Amino acid sequence: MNRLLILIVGIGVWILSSLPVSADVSLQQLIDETPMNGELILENKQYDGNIEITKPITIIGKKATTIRGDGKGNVVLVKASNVTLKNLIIENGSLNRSSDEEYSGIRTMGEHNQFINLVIHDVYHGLYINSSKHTLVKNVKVTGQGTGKLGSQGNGIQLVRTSNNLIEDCTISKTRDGIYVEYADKNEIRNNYVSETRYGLHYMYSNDNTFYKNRFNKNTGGAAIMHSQNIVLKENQFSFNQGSRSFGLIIQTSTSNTVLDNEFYLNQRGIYLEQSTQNKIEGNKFFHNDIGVELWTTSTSQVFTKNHFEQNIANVLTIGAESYNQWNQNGMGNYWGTELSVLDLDQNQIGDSPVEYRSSLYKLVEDNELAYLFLKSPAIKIYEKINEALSTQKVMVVDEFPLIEKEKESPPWMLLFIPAIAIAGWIFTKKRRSRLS
Amino acid sequence: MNYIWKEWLEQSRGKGLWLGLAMVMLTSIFLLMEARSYPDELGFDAFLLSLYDMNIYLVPIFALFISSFSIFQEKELKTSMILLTKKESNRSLMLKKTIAIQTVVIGVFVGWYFVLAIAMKWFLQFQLTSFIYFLLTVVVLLLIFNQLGLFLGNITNTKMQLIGATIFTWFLFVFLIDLAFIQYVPSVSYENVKLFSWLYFLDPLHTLRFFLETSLGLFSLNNMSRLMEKMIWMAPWKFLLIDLAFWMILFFELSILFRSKGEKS
Repeated sequence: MNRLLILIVGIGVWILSSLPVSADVSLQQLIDETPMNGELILENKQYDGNIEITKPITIIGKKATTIRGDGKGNVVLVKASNVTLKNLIIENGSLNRSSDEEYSGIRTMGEHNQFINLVIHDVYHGLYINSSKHTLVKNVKVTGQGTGKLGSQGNGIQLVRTSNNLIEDCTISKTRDGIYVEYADKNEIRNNYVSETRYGLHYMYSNDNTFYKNRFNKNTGGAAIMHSQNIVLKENQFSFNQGSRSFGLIIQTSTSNTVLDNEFYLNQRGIYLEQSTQNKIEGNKFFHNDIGVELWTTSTSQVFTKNHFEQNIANVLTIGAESYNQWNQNGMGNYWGTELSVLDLDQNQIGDSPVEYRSSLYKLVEDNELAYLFLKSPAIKIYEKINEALSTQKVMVVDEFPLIEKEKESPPWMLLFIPAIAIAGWIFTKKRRSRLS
Repeated sequence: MNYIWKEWLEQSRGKGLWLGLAMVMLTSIFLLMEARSYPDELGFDAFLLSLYDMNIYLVPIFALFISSFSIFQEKELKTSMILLTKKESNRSLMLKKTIAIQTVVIGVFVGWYFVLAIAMKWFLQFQLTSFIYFLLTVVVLLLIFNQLGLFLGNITNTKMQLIGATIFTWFLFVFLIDLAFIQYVPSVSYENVKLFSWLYFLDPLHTLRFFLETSLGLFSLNNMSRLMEKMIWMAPWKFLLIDLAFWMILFFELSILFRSKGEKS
């Protein structure tokens, strides 16, 4: 009997000893115990969420400090102002779309909050800035569920009814939209890298914002500006945005935006303008796109100046009935590459006569979206030539003051390749012949 | 194995293979130099796409000429006749010749692209998986057009016929088919898009580009319109496999069916 008792007690002790220790203080408790404006330094381990922050506080983690949510809500909910979160990994938020709200890795509603050096994944929205002001988001990495689940997941960073925020040096990939901005004015978004999303940047009903030096790569669409005005997009790079009717930048139902010194590389369409007026497109480089600029008839009074068009299949297509757009300003037109050669006898870098850019591809694109599948075909050049001969091309652009670039000198060593290969071939043939004879 | 060795000796002693390869090498090097002017993270993918664009022009005509002249020479020099009277059936001769030509031509090309990979690694942000996808497009392109070349070499009786047929086939695939498609595009609707899709993806040049762009993650298959979703109703690699099987089997069988005896005097 005694032996049986000892065995039972032994098993009991063993079972209880293998259960998780509940003596650890929870993260919420640690936060609650930290005084107002105090600093909480976390250890290099995983803490359980979800947590709620209701007072000004600074939470700093180490290299692998993780806050793991229970998968049922926001992992971190910040209701207070002057909160700083730094060096943390945040994961496992709710992906449930049938709930009252769309949950996030971090949802912030206060002012002057800072989110620095964070990694956020396995959440619906990454960081949700809601009705707050003066938020700093710096070096935050958000990764979504992947391109196969674009429709069923949230955005990397979402700003709704907020203003005067700064978002910089962030990396966002595989989310629905990279940065989504709605009813949010006077924000600055700079130096971020967004890839493999639906729209790298999606902008609705928001005005007076600045986007500077961001890179949008391999998205369905680089950036979408809709129902917004007075936005400045400067020195951003929109590249490899290819797909079914993809674009580097779409400006739709928006006015008075400035697109300045950006690069549009290898997109299906560099800029797509629809139902928009008085936007200024200046100093941008359109390189190797299927279509450099696609202008629908509902877009009027845009100004295009000092843009470089190079090696696009179609530099500009205007679709639909004619609309008025200005292709020069203050005597400065655009650079049209070698396709539209023009004389410059007075050497002032401005062509002596106007140029006309003509194309017949507008008709194809207008008729059926499947036309985009053929834009890279070698046959397109023949198609254009046939239409040129038949005079069925339409004038897309008249530039009164085309700009002329100074010729770049190619490195002379490149020219050595041809004779080098020819000589190598000759030596090879000669040796082989002598060997055979 | 004997056939492969014989083919290699014949091809390596001739000028055709090396001239064709030299063209590809030169253009590849120029494209590589151009790709260096792209932003760093774009350079490699952009280079692979440019190489594919170039391959569309060069590889089909190169493969057509090499393989068609190879089989034509067998007829011209009566070696095929000797082989057929001795031990080979028409089908087994064709099969062995096909394997030999495919092996030699693909071997030479793949060899060159591995050499080029060293330069890619040096100058660009090289990614092995992207490179393998690209290499796969080159191999499939060669497989299909070598097979077409073998067919042309088999059915023609004179060299002039052969040259004419080869150039026409190249022009047909690279330009004419797409011109016909472009004329037909405006009449494609949601109802008949499936038929259009079959026709579109049966063209290996379309399917290969689509496969490459989607594999490199450059062409997104998300957020497509209903029309496009119905157009792209199968994974690109499946279209590619169908293409490969269709063109190779079709032209292998046609080669045997329409085999001519040799150059008419």
